[in-house]
Amino acid sequence: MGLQNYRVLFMAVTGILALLVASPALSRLLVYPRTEFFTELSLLDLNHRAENYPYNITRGLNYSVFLEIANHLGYTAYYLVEVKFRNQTQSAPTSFGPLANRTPSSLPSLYNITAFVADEGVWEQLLTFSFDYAYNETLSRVEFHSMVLNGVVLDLRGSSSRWNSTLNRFFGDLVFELWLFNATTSSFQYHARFVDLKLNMTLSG
Amino acid sequence: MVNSENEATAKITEAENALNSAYEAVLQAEKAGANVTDLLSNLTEAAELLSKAKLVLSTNESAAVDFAVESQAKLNGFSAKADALAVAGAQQRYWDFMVNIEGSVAVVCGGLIVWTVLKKKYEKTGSEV
Repeated sequence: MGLQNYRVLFMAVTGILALLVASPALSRLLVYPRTEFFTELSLLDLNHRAENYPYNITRGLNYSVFLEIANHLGYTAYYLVEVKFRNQTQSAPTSFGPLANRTPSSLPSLYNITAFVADEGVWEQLLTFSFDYAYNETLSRVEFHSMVLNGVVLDLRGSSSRWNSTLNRFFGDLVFELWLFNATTSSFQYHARFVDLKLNMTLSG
Repeated sequence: MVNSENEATAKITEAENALNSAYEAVLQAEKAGANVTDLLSNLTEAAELLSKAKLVLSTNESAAVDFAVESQAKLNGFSAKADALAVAGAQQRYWDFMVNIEGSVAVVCGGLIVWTVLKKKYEKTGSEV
């Protein structure tokens, strides 16, 4: 068998070797482009499960949940979580329908939690909160005084909740709205999603 | 000493601008191929202090100023660090790329040389390999 008979085999082996050496660089050029860019926002219980959320609230008792943000935006993101508390008649945020139509609650933020999350990274924070409120018998409503979130006292004076006879509860809604920093405009924009804890403010305790 | 609300607001704005600039430096470094994970803890600490400054602004201007100043202090030298990471990241990326490409070119050239040598040897001796 002549040398020419090995030519194709020799070229193939050389080509495969060249491709192997170049593969780290080629992987950057030939990588399948990501097409979906989004953020996951979730509330989890102490076992990191989406269950056993606090519901029946007793005045002065501490409750804990994990707030989690998973960044799939393709770059390190600067998030702001606006903490708001509302009763059933106050403005609620929206997170359904086209992104442009989703709006945050018009209530002022009680506290801002900031998070810088690397691309494909997950950020998590334990939130421990308690409420101070009293029942006003004359007006048949719960009147809020304050909320303590991770040791920070937040003023809730002026906020109240009437008895909801349909749901049999004094409704309170602890809302966490996600905002994203836009480096072009140097401002935060509502990131069209929120999570919340719907609470029953009980009169025990 | 009690600071005026205007002074506190100005300090908070300064700290806010510093934080935004620091974040933009991180984005630039990331685009250049740097691993920015180590920079994020500094940013988070500065942002937390800024949140506290905003929270106490209406009730305690002096504390608001302290938090804002502390927030800004966390970012001292941050841009330089991010820039250095960006340069190092870009260089690393360039050299990784060049080593891979030049390596594969060297393999092809080496193959050609070996083939040429073998061919000449075969022709010269007239015998089969």
